[in-house]
This record gives sequence, C-alpha cells and structure tokens, in this order.
Amino acid sequence: MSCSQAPSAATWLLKSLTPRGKSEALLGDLLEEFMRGRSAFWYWRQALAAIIVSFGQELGCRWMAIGFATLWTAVVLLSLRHIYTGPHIRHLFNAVFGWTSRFPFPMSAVYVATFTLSVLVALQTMAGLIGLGIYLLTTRSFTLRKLLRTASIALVIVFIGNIFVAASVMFAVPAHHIRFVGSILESTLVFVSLLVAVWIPSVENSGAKSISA
Amino acid sequence: MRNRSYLGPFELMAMLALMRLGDNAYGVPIFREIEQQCGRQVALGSVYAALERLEAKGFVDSDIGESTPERGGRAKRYFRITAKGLREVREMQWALKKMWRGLPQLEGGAA
Repeated sequence: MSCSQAPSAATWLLKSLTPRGKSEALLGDLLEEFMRGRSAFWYWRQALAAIIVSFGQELGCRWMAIGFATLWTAVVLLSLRHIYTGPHIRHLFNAVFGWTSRFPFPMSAVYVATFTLSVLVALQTMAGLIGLGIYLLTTRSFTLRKLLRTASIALVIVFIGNIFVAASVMFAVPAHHIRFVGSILESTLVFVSLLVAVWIPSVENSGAKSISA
Repeated sequence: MRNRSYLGPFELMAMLALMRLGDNAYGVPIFREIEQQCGRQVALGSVYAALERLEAKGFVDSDIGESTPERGGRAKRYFRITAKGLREVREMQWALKKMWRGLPQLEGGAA
C-alpha cells in the first residue's frame, strides 16, 4: 500500500484545521497505522476526532478571547445605542440628511448610506480599539504594533461586514423585522470582528511556540 | 493538604502506558497499548490531547525523534514520564487503593 492511498482530503483537513506544528507527529502516526492495514474509514474517523479534540482544546485555551469578545460586544452595543439616541448625533444626522436632500435620487440615497456607514464603522472601530487595547494590556502582550494589527483586522471585518449587513437589511429583510434582524447582525458582526482580531495573533503565537519547542 | 491537580482517568491510563513502553513511547505504541490493555477504542487525537495536558502540568516530557518513509517523512514525538509525573502516579495509586479498600460492592467478583 503506498503513501498516496491515505485519504488526502482527511490529511489536508487535519493539517489545515489544527495549529501548525501540532499535527505533524499525529499525521505521521495516522499514516503509520494506515500503512499497517487500517482502513480509509478508520483514517477519516481518527482525523475528524483529532480535529474536534483540537478545536475543544483551542476553545479551552482561548476562553479569555471568547470572554473578552462577548463582554466587549455588550459594552460596544450599549454605548453605541446611547450615542445613536443622543441629541448631538441626531443633530448631525439631521443636518447631513437635510444637505443630501438637495441632490436628486439615487445620489441622495448613496450619500446618506455612505455617511451612515462611515459613522457606524468609525464608532465601532473606535470602541473596538479601546477594547483591544484593554485586552492586550490585561493579557500583558501590549505593543503598539500588536494593537494596530488587531485593530486593522477588526476594521476590515467591520467595514466589509457593515456593507453586508446594510445590503441584507435593505434588500432581504421585511420592513417590520429590520430593527430586530439589524441588531442581531450588528451584534454578531462586532463579536466576530473582536474575536477574530484577538484569535488570529494568539493562534500564530501558539503555532510559533510549538514549532520552536 | 497541598493544592494539587489530579489526574483524570484517561490521563492516568496514558501515564501508565508510558511507564509500560519505556523508551519506545510515541503516538502509535501508546495508542495501541491503551486499546489493548483497556479493551476499548480510543482516538489518537485524544491521546495527544491528554499527553499535551500532562506535559503542561510537568508530568511528561517530549522529544522529536526520527522520521521514516512509512510515516511520509514525518518525525515521531517520543514521550517520557518525569520524576514529578512518577510521584503523581504513585500518590494516585496510594489514594485509589485506600478508596477501594473495604467496599462490599466491589468484593467477590461480578456484580
């Protein structure tokens, strides 16, 4: 039986979904057993079990990242709700809406959407930046470079995500559900952006550590 | 009473397998030893997860060994029990012996 007969999709999945450096010995063991006569079904089952176990371990190790993302999402959403309903932001929006109404449709709608999206992204990024700073300080891993890196990851997700959220709310959600669906999508977006922003650098660090070990 | 982290049942099995295998303790023999001695199927991923937890507790050490063609050129990862780990297994054995002693439900074979 040759090496190439081991299910390559299972190998690829295991390599891709477990931290770098951790899967090498395990893959070697799986292949060794496969060459001694274990079935492709056995190989697949072991690979999937290893992925699930590894994911569970990662969750256990990253409880702080998950806790931070959950807590800060709540803080960001409550603060933004307070800001949106405040008199200053209403004056600002009224002034901008008044100015854009001088333009013909659809330019007026484009200006309104662009302005609303920019304000939303700016507020979410600012709140995220503060939260990420607190997280890095709490985990004693604060450097300006890390802060900028995590913040840029969050900014990209928030920017792309808000476009997606705006498009879904405008075109795919019935009018009477807009407020509810919008707030669910916004919460999910803020949570995912914060989680990914703090998760990616920590996974890279753990991968680097296991390789150097 | 000192503050200590207890071994889980699967971690204890992995430690005992390491002791039985000696210098040849890498993934495949550990996995086979647990399967053969305990008579149940286990996942290699769970074996590695238990060994990594034990390594983090300082009960186990690991080294990267040689790679062979039958492993697709991938290196073996050898595990060995540390002095701290051996002490922990002894304490566990002593504690379990004390707990098992004098239980009428466990005396006289099959329940």
